[in-house]
Formats: sequence, structure tokens, C-alpha cells
Amino acid sequence: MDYFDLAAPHDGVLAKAFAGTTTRFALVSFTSDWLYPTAESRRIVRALNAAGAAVSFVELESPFGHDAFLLDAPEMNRVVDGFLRAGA
Amino acid sequence: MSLRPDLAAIADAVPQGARVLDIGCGDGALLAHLRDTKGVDARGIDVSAANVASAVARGLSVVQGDADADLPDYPDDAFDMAILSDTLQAMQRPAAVLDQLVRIARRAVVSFPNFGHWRVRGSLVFGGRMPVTRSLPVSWHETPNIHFCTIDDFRELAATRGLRVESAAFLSGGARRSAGLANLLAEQAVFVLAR
Repeated sequence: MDYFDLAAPHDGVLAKAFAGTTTRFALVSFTSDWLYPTAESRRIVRALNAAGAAVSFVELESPFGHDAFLLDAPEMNRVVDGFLRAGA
Repeated sequence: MSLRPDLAAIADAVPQGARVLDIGCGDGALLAHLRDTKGVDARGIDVSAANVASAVARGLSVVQGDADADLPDYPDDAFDMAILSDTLQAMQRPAAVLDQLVRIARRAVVSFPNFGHWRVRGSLVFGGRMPVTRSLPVSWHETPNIHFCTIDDFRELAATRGLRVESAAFLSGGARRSAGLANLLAEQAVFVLAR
């Protein structure tokens, strides 16, 4: 997983990987997650915006690190619920 | 749903089915209204996580971010209309943000509180104090508003950035008012700008 680079087959430009996509995206990061830090989520968001994709992104407060999403996270539930409903 | 009067004035300027980016979209009230009544392709940016969560919960595509930093990520002409409602005065670099708005969208709708309103002037002239009014409810040390301007200031800024004013609406006490003496009598202004 550490060696996977989505941008590599696209001249190193992440936005090109998403070119022409019609998929809706939602990214959620947690303040204390060191495995998938917010800065990396923002890089994906930036690339999706550059590709004109429909993207949502929010960084949520949590002291529980990478496992925060497994615990009760009402704000995350609210976001995911709204995102899924909009696609239904 | 009844929309705040300034937001209703903005909504009037948005054409049916437009691709819209609302910068400083708050909880997405305006975007949801535009999606439901005008079928727009609605996108938003807001700094507050709680606001973004509320907007996404409404089914909107909204990104937590900062207009000062994040607008350069969007390609040229990505949108038909960029909306900046009640946010310009909170920007670090308002002129640069205006430039970005008309780069990523053909038209920009900008609303802001008018610092030239008589109540604001009165507070400074007679009270000797920074104004706390209906449209500027927070005291100077707590307000996110760091770059106030009057309607005439805004017109000058738009002109120096080479922007054309397509239309303007003025509000006072939650109602539209005429353009006459707007710099003195309007609490809020809504401008539609084009390159």
C-alpha cells in the first residue's frame, strides 16, 4: 500500500487520474489521524477540484487517531448519511 | 423555505441550471435553495467544519477550505457563477479573491455589509466607537471582518480590477431599496460583476 501511487501512470499529475469523472466524492479526515493525515486528503481534494469533480471534504475533531471512524462519530454519520441520501 | 433577504437578492441573479460555486457557503442554505428552485450544479467552500457537515448533510458538495488559499485550485471558467456572500470583508486579500472569482467563473455575485451606512458613520462620528449594528453584530476584537468597505469603495475596487458591474441591489432593514444614496442608506449591497 505504501508503494501505490495513483498519480504515477498520469505523468505524476493526480488531477489527470480523475479527468472526466462523473462520480461524486466525499472525503472525511480526523484531526488525530497520523496514518491518513488531513494534508493528504487535501491533496486529493485539490486534484478533484482541478478535475471539476463534485467533491465534499471535512476534517473532524477527534482524539482517537486512525480508528476514530470506527467509534461513535455523530458528525461523520451526519456527513455520510447526507452524502449517501443525495446519491439515492 | 424563506431565504434571508440578502441571499434572496443573490439567488435572483443566478440563472436556471447554472454551475455555481458558493464561497463561504455556511450551512448551505443558499446552495440548497438554488439546487431545489433553479436546478443549479451547486458546489461550496466554507472554513467551518460544523458548517460543512451541515451542508454535506443536505446532500451538497461542499469542501472545507479557505477562499484566500484554495481558490487557485479551481480551473479557469469552471463555473458560470461564483458567489461570495457576506465574506469579502473577512478575506486576508479581498482584491486577490475578486480576481480569482472572475477567473473561475464568468460572473461573480458579491454581497457585503456597507461600512458607509449612516448608522456606522454615526457610531464613529458621534459615539467615537467602532459600530455594532444589525448587519455588523460583533464587537471589533471578535469580528472575523478585517477588511470593511463602503459601497463606493467596492465600486472603485471593481473598476481598478477591470471588472464591469452588471447589476447591483441594495438592502436596508431586510428590504430592497433604491440605488439613490445607497452608500449612505443601504446596510448591505449585492453586486453582480463580470470580466
